Amino acid sequence: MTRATLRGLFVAAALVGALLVATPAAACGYDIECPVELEEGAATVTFEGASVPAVVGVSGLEAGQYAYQMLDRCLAAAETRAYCSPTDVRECPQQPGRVIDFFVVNRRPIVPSQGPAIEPVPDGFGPGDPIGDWSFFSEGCYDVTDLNPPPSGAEVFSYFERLPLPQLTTQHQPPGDGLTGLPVIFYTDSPTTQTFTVDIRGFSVVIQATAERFTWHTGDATGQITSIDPGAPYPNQTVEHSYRSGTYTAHLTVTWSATFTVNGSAPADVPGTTTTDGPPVTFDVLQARPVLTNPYD
Amino acid sequence: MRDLRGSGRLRRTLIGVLLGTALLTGCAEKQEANDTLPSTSASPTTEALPELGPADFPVPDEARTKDAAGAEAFLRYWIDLINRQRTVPAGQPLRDLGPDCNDCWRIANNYDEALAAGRRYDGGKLTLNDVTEPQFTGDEASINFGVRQEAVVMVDAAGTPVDSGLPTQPNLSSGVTLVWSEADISWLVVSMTLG
Repeated sequence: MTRATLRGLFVAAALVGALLVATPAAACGYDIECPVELEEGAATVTFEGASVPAVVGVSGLEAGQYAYQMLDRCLAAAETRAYCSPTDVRECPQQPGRVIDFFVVNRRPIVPSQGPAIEPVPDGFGPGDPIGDWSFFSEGCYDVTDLNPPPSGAEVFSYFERLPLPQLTTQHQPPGDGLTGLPVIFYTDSPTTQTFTVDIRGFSVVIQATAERFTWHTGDATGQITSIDPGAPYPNQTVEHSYRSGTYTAHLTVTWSATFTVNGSAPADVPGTTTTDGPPVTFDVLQARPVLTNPYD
Repeated sequence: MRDLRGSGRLRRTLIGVLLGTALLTGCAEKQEANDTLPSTSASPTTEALPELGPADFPVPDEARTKDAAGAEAFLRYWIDLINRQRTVPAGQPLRDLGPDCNDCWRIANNYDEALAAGRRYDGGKLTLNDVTEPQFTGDEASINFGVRQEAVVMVDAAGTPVDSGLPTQPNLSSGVTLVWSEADISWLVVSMTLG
């Protein structure tokens, strides 16, 4: 059962009073049980599996006789009426280092691996198979820390590569047309760091993105020049290129790396980089010809 | 479980007898004595059950008893109703009989949306396999069952599939929870899980 979800959207909904719209999964157009998928980009707020009974306070025989499912209350509402409103959100008292959220717990009988089943078993089903109907079991604040490990570097990277990183603008000197024999200076004065705070499965993840490599596409046969700094204007230029006469279009590709923290932890490297392409700039490079003139004319 | 229709008939018969007695004792005008008592044969007291379900596919009488046989008969009718509504397609009868059932509404909405989009379902018939004895809790009955669903695909007006559809599912583990409605003299669907 796949679900994508909504914690970040909760915040948006709470702030603007908007309704969250659920997107039905592909199988939802048919009669069989249908998971609801909410919009991409927020945290998973559904838990199933063998660890859930302990979290909801069930043990012993009862734990083996049912499958348990924890749904965020907003998701449960969305499954009922295809949207979640701010009034569906419940707050829970928090503890440092723990993830505690409000969940609706449903359960469904299963055929136990040993002992009699809690409900009659239709023909054709064996140990571990679910039987019967999902039904409401409880709702309340549950500590899901053990079910919800902190985001891994790989998971953070999947968010990092989708962040709206800045597209750095190419500046060149001299402004306007260049001259053959006079190198064109490239630099960018756009910001080369940016901080994002994203919510991943209830964790506050701060991603500090830094431009670590600058690839200047010169627009001529040279192709590109790479630097580890953003360049600078005259007279401190570090990136320059000599052109033949002609019209050229240049742009800058920036390679971004990042570090991240989870709920204020020590920073760690995001395992991977991503790139952005800046807008192109077009300029002419003219051939200068010496002309004798009389300065007294 | 008690057959409420039986007790209803008894109640109505008693009311008829009492009304007849009241009419007899309420006559103020002097009348010649008859050799025979006026007939007290009441008009038939077997009132029809309130209409429920589509007019041309109503909930059958055998599904309107508050007992195990009635609950199972309702389940069988319900599966037939889903099959019927899928072929229309139209969802309102499913909402009428499952007013608080999330999955019933989801399926009903699917059918209505398919109709609005000029689409229909090709295949998908549900057939009950094994049905277990209903389990009762108060006014609710839960039934576990296996159900076969034939391969199904949604097609547009030209008959072209709009997605990959679903293959045949020979035995989907399923369950339904019904609640007895005194007002409707019938079972209604509280929740349902197919698969």
